[in-house]
Amino acid sequence: MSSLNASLATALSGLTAEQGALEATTNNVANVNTPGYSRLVPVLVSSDPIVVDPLTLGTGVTLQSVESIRDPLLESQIQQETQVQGQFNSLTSALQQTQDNFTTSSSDIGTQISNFFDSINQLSTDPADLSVRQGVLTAAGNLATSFNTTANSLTQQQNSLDLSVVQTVGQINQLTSQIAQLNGQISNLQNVGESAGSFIDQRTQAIDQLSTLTDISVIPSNNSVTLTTGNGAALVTGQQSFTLQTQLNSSGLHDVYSQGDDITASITSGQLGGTLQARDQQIPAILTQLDTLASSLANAVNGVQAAGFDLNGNAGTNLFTPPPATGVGAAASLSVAITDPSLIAASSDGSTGSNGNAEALYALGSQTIINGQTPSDYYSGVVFNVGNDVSNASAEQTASGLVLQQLNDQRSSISGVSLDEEAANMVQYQSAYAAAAQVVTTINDMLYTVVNMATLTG
Amino acid sequence: MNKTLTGVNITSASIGARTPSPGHTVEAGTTPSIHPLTSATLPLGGAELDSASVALLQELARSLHAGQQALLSRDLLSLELNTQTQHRLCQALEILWTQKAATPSSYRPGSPNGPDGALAVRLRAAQWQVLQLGRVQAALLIRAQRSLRMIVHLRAGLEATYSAPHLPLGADRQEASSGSSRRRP
Repeated sequence: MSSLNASLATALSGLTAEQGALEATTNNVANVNTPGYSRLVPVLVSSDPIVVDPLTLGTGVTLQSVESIRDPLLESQIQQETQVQGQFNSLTSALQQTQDNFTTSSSDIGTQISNFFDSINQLSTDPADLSVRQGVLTAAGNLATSFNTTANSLTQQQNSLDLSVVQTVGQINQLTSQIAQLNGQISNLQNVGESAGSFIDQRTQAIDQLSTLTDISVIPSNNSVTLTTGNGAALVTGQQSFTLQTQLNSSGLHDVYSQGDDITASITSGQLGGTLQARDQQIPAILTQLDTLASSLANAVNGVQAAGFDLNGNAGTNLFTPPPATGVGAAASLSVAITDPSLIAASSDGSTGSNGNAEALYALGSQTIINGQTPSDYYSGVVFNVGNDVSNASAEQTASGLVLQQLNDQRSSISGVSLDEEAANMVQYQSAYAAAAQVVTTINDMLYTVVNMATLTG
Repeated sequence: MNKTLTGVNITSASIGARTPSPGHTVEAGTTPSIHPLTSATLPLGGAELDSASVALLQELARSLHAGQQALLSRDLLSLELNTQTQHRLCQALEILWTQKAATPSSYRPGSPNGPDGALAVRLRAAQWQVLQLGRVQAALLIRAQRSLRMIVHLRAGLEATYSAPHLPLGADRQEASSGSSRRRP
């Protein structure tokens, strides 16, 4: 039979274990409103028994560990969706800013195209009137300014997105360094059998933040996680983090490098992915369309001008400065080549009253001179595409928000703290602690009796 | 009640449960009913067709919204039912728009039923809402598909990725009987 001292040790193990369990509950209650906190659950196991012939006696209870309740699959889904949401948040925001350039106003390209052809229409009714001719030059100048303003605004937006790329890369580096550090702390604690729940929570939150910024793959390993970018470039391995660098490319924009490799094109999600998509794909595509419109329109007008005669009977000269042969930068550099209104070639035969060439110029407005479309239709197509891109990105953003909400609710139901449950646990641990304390008191009384017995018999 | 419009049967049941019963009247200011399709006054005028379109589109928007909630909460039965409803509503809209295309425009400038009138504005708003909800629905379905793939991969486990390719049943025996000494990869 076991000694009274052994029984006392068994009762004390109960006190210690229940106290530990109560501490877990206390921590849960304290963190009820902490974002990203996963509730702790004490794992109690019975201690190794001892054999006192012919009996096997228990030796009490051990608080083996305090575990955080998590669902790895859910965490993975949340991280993936967070990346997608980050991408569409930044893409939608960038595209909405782009769309502002195409809002119908008195100075937008579409209105200026109409105004330009309206002024030529007026010219065809009175080709010799200098004030009407001046009106054509003013409308042409406004059209060129409108192209310049829109193209420059898009380029400025591209540059500010580029700045955002550099800042985001800085944030990524900060987070990967923090995660590597947390890996070390978690590893150290777990190697000595301690619970690293709060550090794991901090790491999960840091990984969630990183997911908002870029696409990552999370590979759990022993007491640690390895993080890579979508294409496998290492970000964090154990306690070591690998920084991303930015480097200027030939276009004057920053590319993202990982250990010497250009990984810009492979970054597809997260805030960085969305920003790169807007900077490198969406805005350049719109600029190309504007360049096509500006160069085609300028070339067509110049071509008709050359076929006619000005007010002095001379052959027409360019109305717009000839755009670059490749068309690149045509919208940003479009300008009116003449300042003298008499140089507009309205006449088709050199006579002052002729309006044949003015009518030919006016007809350009309804001719399919740009990729099989009229100038106005082509511009409408550009506006439609921008609006469509904004709508698609916005729909993706909404869908991501809905899915993330659903996933976070699921995570809360698994990992979140329920005050009712914690209150019940508290009562349970308190009762067990009180019972164990009563056992200690009883054994103490028994020991006292034994000691007194020994004194009396001695 | 069955009516034939451009060769397609439209029944009140086929348009959805919200279709008013015969004789049902709609109070002013409430959501317009889709009675034109089930009434005996066909062929319809342009304004009536637009009113019916707005009602159908609003019904479609409600169904898309309900479908999204079902998709998020993994309620497959509700998703299926809503998809069926959406399919029926789309068919009804197609019929309406075919009818509208064949109806000569009788709009007068300044009329509330004209291209810039209140009805047209409501129609465009309803179309826009359905378009956007459709986009969100598509995005949600893609995500559901991705989650499903993730679970399938998890269920498959690692051995599925690295195991040798499966040979058809009996291939081993045929290979052995042919005396081939080639080793399987």
